[in-house]
Amino acid sequence: MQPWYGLINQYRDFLPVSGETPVITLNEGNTPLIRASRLNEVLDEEINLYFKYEGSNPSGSFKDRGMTLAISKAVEDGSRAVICASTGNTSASASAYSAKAGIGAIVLIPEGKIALGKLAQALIHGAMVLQVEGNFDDALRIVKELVERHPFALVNSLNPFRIEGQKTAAFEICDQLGAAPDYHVLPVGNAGNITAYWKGYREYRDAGRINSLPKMLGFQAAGAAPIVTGRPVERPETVATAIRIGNPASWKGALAARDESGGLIESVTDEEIINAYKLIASREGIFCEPASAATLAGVIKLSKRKFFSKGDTVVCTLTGNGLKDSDSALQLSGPPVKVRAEITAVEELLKGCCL
Amino acid sequence: MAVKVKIPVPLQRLTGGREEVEGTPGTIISLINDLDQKYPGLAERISEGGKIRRFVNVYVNEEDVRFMKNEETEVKDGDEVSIVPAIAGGGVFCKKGGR
Repeated sequence: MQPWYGLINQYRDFLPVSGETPVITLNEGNTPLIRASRLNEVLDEEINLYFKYEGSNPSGSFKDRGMTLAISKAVEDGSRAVICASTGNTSASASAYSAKAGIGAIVLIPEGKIALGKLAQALIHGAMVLQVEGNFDDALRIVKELVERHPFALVNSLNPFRIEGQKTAAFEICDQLGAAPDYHVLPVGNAGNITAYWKGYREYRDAGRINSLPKMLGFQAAGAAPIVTGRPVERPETVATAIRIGNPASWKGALAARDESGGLIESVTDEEIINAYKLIASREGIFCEPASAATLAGVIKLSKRKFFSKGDTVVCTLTGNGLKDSDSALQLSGPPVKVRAEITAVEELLKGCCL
Repeated sequence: MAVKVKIPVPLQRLTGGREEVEGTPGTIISLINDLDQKYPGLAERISEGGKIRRFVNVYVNEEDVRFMKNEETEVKDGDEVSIVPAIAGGGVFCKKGGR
């Protein structure tokens, strides 16, 4: 087995680093590409479906890819603190990499729905966590103004190094499949990831590592779908907190990815997201966060209208680990059933199910 | 025509290995009790005291009866009733994309 020392070391030639850049890494990347095997009956077409499970990154989401680079560059530039606005995953990742680098992390989170696991991560890593009385877009606006006035490094996806790091997931998929997929499916919130993947695929093609490019398919939650409707959403609402964003930072990048690749960006309802979230967990054994499931929800939706062709290779990025938002899983599943500590009582409950 | 009833693998030993049997129209609970005449032991596996068991799901034309009238949900000729164990791999969440 080849040792893995993180994605900066692995893909150094494609990244804006030099021998002088201190590499702050938690050995992120190299995440599993898992072939779906039990979803055939919910799809109307025979496709080769894969999940790129980004929940197995060190802080449990794809954000670690951008963060290893953003924090390494911040340290190289002499920053003593980094700052970000976040719905959760970015703050968890920024806090972890700042801790590793020995610099400060300031995190502004919106009020209301925040997955508890992500908040716990930022707090235990020692970040200064401030909950703004407003939504994500309010938090981002404040952060942008703060970095104009103070020597903090902004590590939101507006930070170009974030996109540079995140594009390495596209490299890995090509390396794992031996070719580019036909379609790449992503949840779209702040739209940095779809922008990054598209950049990664193009660079890999330009370097001669792949011969074709995938069509990029993005899915927003119906209650937070500014790119689909064409205008910012003032009060975005969705169960998928990681994509509850009304005015995406990388809006233009998402449109470019969509149009240049010949793909699409559509919306899926919370009901479709929850159904897909349960399917991925109960039929494929992968626990992702609700936002990640917007990908499968979108594939199911498209397959109903015969969008794909038989044998197409379709990769869905599962952006984050389900443990970050265990509340959602518990609410949807209900509490465990209590039973007397007797074999007969347990057997009685198993009747019709396993007995 | 009758009501088509799909039997899950764990219960097929009670139906002589049949995956699908025919039932009589009426409420779900009357259909189950009626099937028990032909396939003794079936009703006890699916229900207890007139209620569907906690770890058994019953669908009528792919709709969960828990979102209808539970045991009192009416089924008619041509309807399809699926009995599905509520366990990973048993398909508790496998209804086609909410169709």
